[in-house]
Amino acid sequence: MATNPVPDHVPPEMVGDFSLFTSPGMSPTANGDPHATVACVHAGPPIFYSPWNTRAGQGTWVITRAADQRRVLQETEIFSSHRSIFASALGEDWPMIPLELDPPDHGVFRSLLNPLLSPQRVTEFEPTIRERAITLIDSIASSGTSCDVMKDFAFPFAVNIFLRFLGLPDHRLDTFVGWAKDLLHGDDVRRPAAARTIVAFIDEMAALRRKEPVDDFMSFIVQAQVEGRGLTDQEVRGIGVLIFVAGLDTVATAIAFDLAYLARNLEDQELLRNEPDRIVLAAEELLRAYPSVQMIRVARQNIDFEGAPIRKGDYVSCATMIANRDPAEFESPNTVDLKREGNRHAAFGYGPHRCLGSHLARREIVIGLEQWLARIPPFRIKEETAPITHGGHVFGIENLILDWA
Amino acid sequence: MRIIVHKARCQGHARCSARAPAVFKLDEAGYILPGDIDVANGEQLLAPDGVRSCPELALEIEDPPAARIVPDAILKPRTGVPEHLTTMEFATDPMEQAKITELLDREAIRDCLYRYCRGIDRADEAALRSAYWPDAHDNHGAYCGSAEGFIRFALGVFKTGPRNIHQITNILIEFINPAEAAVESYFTALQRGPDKDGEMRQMLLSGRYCDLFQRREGEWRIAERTVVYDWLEEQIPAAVLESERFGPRQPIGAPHPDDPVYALGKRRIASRGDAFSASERERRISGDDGL
Ligand code: HEM
Repeated sequence: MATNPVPDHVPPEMVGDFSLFTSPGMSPTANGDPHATVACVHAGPPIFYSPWNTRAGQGTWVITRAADQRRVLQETEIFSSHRSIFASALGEDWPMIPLELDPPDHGVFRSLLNPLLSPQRVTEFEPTIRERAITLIDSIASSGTSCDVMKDFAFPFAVNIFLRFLGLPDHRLDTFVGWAKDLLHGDDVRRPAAARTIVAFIDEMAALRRKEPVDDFMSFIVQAQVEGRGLTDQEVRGIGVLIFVAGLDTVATAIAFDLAYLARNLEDQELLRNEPDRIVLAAEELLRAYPSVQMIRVARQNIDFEGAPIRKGDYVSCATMIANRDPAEFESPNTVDLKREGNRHAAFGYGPHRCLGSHLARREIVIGLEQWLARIPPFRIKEETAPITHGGHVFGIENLILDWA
Repeated sequence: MRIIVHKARCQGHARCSARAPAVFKLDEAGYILPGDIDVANGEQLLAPDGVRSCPELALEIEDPPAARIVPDAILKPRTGVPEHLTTMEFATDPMEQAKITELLDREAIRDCLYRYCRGIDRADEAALRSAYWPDAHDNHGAYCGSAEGFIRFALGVFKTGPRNIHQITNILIEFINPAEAAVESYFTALQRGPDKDGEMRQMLLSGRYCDLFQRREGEWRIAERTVVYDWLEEQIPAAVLESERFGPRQPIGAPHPDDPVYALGKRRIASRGDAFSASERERRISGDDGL
């Protein structure tokens, strides 16, 4: 992959030697701490230009301050999210919906989907989430004193809830996990192949539900009306694919980072085990300290933004892991304080694209931690193993072997 | 207390209602209902947390607050309160309310000054930080720059195991406006610790902190500090070991979290928005040892 040359309008002194993809600690690293690594940007200027900061090697402006990210993400007339990332990997051009639409079109679809994942809906879904967590953890507890959290718990848990939410049968679980893994971590052959498979699957499901609707997510989408009309096949695909890619890895990753933290900080582990009421607040702090997503926008017009000469067409990166370590927004940002109040972190983004699944994700994380702590005795990282972490577009942890012998 | 709702900014994070469901009501999709909110008396403790947790800054406490939480002790009519005023009228009379607000503000400023001393004397990073706004400036003798930089400097000094006693005496608070105050406070400092060459030095210092205090979201902290020095006396440290010199006078003061005061703190009911609670059970993230 070639690095784009730095555009002429970027002053050389604003070019920073930093990338979420290529900086040290961003490639898979044993016992890495990519979040602490990126937090170092706060020692430098609030905005700079990184010549290689997307998977495809494009340059982006990097917005480090939470307050500035809030502005970029709220001001959609200036900073657009219209990009077709997923489709362009397939040589196609259609938006993931609602993520790659700008207001006012965005609002049309967002209002349609909001009630499906509202706080109230998620509360109704809670017993299912809890039941899934208990089943998985009990089976882990009864089969030994060690496991790979990613493989044995976090991933199957997130995918399982997700299938329930979409109304798909559990027996497809392994298939989906395979697709999701290839899509997120596969090489240049497996990634597009997985993307194609997912698109074909969504298209097929949609056709099936159009013919014979049942009581599930896809049936709701194919029957839905926006502005007095039904959705086109492309719109249905855009929604289906986004929900698929947005809801799988993110939740599993969050749970794994949380358990990794607790495995290394036994006092906090004990605190949450003894006082489970604290988990709700603690989960927020862990979302602040270990978020996973980088958001990208494209400038729709020339703008001088906080001293940066941003020109139409420039990419602008708002990385949640950077905003969440901003000392102007969070007191002692590099300290994990499970009792932190007023924690308005950016893990789920800011502005109209605020994560649609945030309420579901939060319940999954809280219930996952609650049940894990209630059912697994004090645990640590298994000796002679090292969790492998990585940076990139979505930060992650590849393996997490815990031990409670 | 009245909360201004900037409805257009709400993006449905629902953090406010997660904190105080009785105060912040959501629609079916999970977004806040339109219209400002008059907070009922029983909810005044949680509501500010809800406001502070909004990622979009869509909520705001009306400033100056129409009514703040008034401890019972202050509400009780005492000398000076006209007899015809009942407890409730006393609290809601705008003039009296303004006086109570000022008293609470003064107390909050005093508390902040003491937190700084706790931070320095107990090598307690969280307490020290909680005295300054993150963008504060400190002109502090040999050091002049961001408060953040001063804190880093202090953390370096803490590693040498010093013993410090900082006492604050005369405090003069002059309000510039409802959210800013010029504050002069006298300090006496006994400082003991190794110098660059490892030799033990002992000093008595006296002077004044000249501070610009600012109130943000209901909390008072230092925005700018200049330390003015009025007295300096180098003392001769005793040659014998400290433990010998103190004899039966134990325990000797210790840094955070080993000092007995912290054990006491654990029994205390942490008050909300309380800057100290952050200091308990803090965990450092690896890779940030320089802080
Ligand atoms: C801990 C887990 C999760 C994290 C950290 C996360 C993070 C995010 C972030 C940062 C955005 C904003 C993207 C942008 O503005 O460019 C977003 C959007 C979105 N997320 Fe999530 N997410 C999580 C879980 C989920 C789940 C479980 C679902 C689905 C059930 C989901 C569905 C979506 C959708 C549909 C959007 C686009 C919303 C819009 O454009 O209006 N997410 N997510």
